[in-house]
Amino acid sequence: MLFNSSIFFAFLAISLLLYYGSFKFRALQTWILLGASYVFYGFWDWRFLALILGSTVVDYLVAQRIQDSGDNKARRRWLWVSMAANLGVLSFFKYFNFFATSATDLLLLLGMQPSPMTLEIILPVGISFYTFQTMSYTIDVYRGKMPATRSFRDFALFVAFFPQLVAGPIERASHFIPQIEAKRRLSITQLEEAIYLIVYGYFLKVFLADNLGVQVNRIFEDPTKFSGLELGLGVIAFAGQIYGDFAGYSSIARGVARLFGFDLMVNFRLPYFAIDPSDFWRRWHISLSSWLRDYLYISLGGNRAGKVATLRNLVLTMLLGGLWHGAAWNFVIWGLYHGVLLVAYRLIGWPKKGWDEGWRRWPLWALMTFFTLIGWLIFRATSVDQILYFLAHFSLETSPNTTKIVGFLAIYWTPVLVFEWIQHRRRNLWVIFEWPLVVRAVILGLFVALTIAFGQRDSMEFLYFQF
Amino acid sequence: MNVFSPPEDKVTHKDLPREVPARSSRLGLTILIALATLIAFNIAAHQFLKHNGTNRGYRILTAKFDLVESAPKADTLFLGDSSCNQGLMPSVWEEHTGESALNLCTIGDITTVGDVWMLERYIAEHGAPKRVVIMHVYDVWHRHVNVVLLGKIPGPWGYWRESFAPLTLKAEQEFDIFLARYFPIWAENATLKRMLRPKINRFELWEDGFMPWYEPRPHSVARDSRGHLRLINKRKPRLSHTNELGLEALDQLQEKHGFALHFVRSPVSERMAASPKWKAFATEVTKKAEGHTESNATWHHEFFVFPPKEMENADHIITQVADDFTKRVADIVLEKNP
Repeated sequence: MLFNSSIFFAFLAISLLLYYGSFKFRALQTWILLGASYVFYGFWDWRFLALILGSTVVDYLVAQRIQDSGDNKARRRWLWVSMAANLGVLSFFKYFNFFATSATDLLLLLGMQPSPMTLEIILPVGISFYTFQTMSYTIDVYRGKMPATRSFRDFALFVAFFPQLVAGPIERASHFIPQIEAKRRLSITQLEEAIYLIVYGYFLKVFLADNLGVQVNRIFEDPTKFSGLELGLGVIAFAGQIYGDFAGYSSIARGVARLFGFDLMVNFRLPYFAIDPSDFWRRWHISLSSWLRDYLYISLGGNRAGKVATLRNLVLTMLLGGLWHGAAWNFVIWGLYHGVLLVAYRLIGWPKKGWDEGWRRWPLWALMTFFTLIGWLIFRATSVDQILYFLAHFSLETSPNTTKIVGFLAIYWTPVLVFEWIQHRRRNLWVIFEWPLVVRAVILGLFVALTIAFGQRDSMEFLYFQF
Repeated sequence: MNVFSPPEDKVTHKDLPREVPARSSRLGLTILIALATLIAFNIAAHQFLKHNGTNRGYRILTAKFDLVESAPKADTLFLGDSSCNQGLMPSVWEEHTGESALNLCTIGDITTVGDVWMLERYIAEHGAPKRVVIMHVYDVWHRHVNVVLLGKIPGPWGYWRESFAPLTLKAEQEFDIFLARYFPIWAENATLKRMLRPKINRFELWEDGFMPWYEPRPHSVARDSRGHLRLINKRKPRLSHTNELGLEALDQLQEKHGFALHFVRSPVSERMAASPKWKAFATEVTKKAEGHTESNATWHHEFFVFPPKEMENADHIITQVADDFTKRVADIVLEKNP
């Protein structure tokens, strides 16, 4: 059930009716939302409902055992049960074939003849998101940051809440569960914020991402048909596609959650205005980068064990972050690439104090944008060979088609870049609410009009669903 | 019981943008103005597409139905699909036969019910013509009307129900017509996106309704011909319900107004004409159509064959040979019914 499908709109309308129809009964509202979330997930594949339920039951019980155990060893053992269960499920469904194939390839390289051992495994939608979400809960309970919830219903909703179930943001229990327990209300301003988030989300997804995706697919399907400059434009198009797709989805998820009175964390803060790798990761997929920082980087020792260990922890965290994105070597390389970038900037001490102000931002920004685009090439490429092909063939060489591709990118990128440039200048993601009512309303109307008139009608599935 | 309010969006670095919440606003007014913007955009798109749209089919329909009012009365009307739209030249017909003519051919997807609607409007405006010549490609006979096109034909809402060839449509089909007529930013999304890429707009229509096409496209002819030859292997010759309706209505109109009614074949590529299987298929389906009309209609069974260098596709000729084609058709029509 994609967000940009008519069945989703019907589902959302019915869910809202039932939810607000029982506004006097908070518990019933929670049950309705939970039921709706399972219906939503079951629509993707009903067979995996058992998996998400199983994950929910395990972590619900484990968290209580952690809390109730007086003994630190017992608490740690229970935590390992949660980690093993979640990572075990994730490893099997997502990484089994990857590791099996890689091991086979390695043995072949060493001159052996192993028999291939892959399975026909279907990747459950959203598994990377909800397993990380539940692990953050048990870790937070273990660390004493929050008490274990005694309500299975509330915990189940935290795990399965449909707006963010299949592609994030990866919520924190300490932020979300109190919202379930509290009385929910939707003020007029929150409703307006929800509408804006949803409208802008669809604009990013349907207008920007899906249209650029057409060009991206063409170029990456057969790069030999395109000139050197066009290959570069293809990477720029992908930068737009992945941002529009993922930030668009997050925005819709947050807007829909807000319609039910829930606040989800901000997941993107204008990532293409970053001036260095740390800045980029404070702006891109924030729910994942903060998860990796809080539960992996800090657990590895963070920056507390000396410079070398800090750099090692950075690289390892980013490498695993890359692997999270997918069971393929290009994701691992992408993660490693960003880890190396972080380390490199730290070692040379960039940006120096004062460099992030005035005109000095520009060269820093240009360099970071270049690095980001190389990263996206690694991310999108279908093989290591393709990465090398692109790198070897980038040039300023044009063809008769180049102007068309430039025009195409300009048409779809420009409205987003202009709007987000204004957000950047005002340091306000909701700059639209600073504007007079008429201006705000006209902009909203134009977003809707452009989405309908120029949006890709046979819409592509959200990219991040494959993770 | 505590009530949850979204916390202030705090950021760790001064450069990071944050979400500054909306102040209380007049949401209703905001939505109204946004809707008004959407409607204004839609109206602008509607006007733009009317005169600059690249969807040739839509523009032909609108232009030809508008032409009924603006054109003078003519002795002979040409009705049918786009093969006739580009094939029969009224000026040549008039010079060759002495009868004035008007080309009101449109596109095949509105089938013969479209011919009926066009004829009804012409008669209402100018009175009955002396002669009506109808030309359809062989594969129009099995088609059902494409309801979305009804949104592009000018006329009061529901005109398709009040005709000698009335159509009964389902609610969802009427909704599609509504979108096609009043919400082009939705219905013509593909055309609008194509128009973002600069392209030469080739739409040209003469005052007498003839649409010229000058560029031969042998590749298209070859590809189309192959497509048609494959098509006849998958299909049996049959007449659709809307065409049955259209033919019966044409009969009634002919009986009521007494004009001479002629059916002629469209041009066809050499490759298709060389196929005995295709010829048999085309003959069979035309026979079925003929069987659905009274003897007052004259069916002309001659095949008009053209080489690829004289065609745009497998059933559309280029303007350079349209005058000869028009004369051949005129000779055949007048020979049988002077």
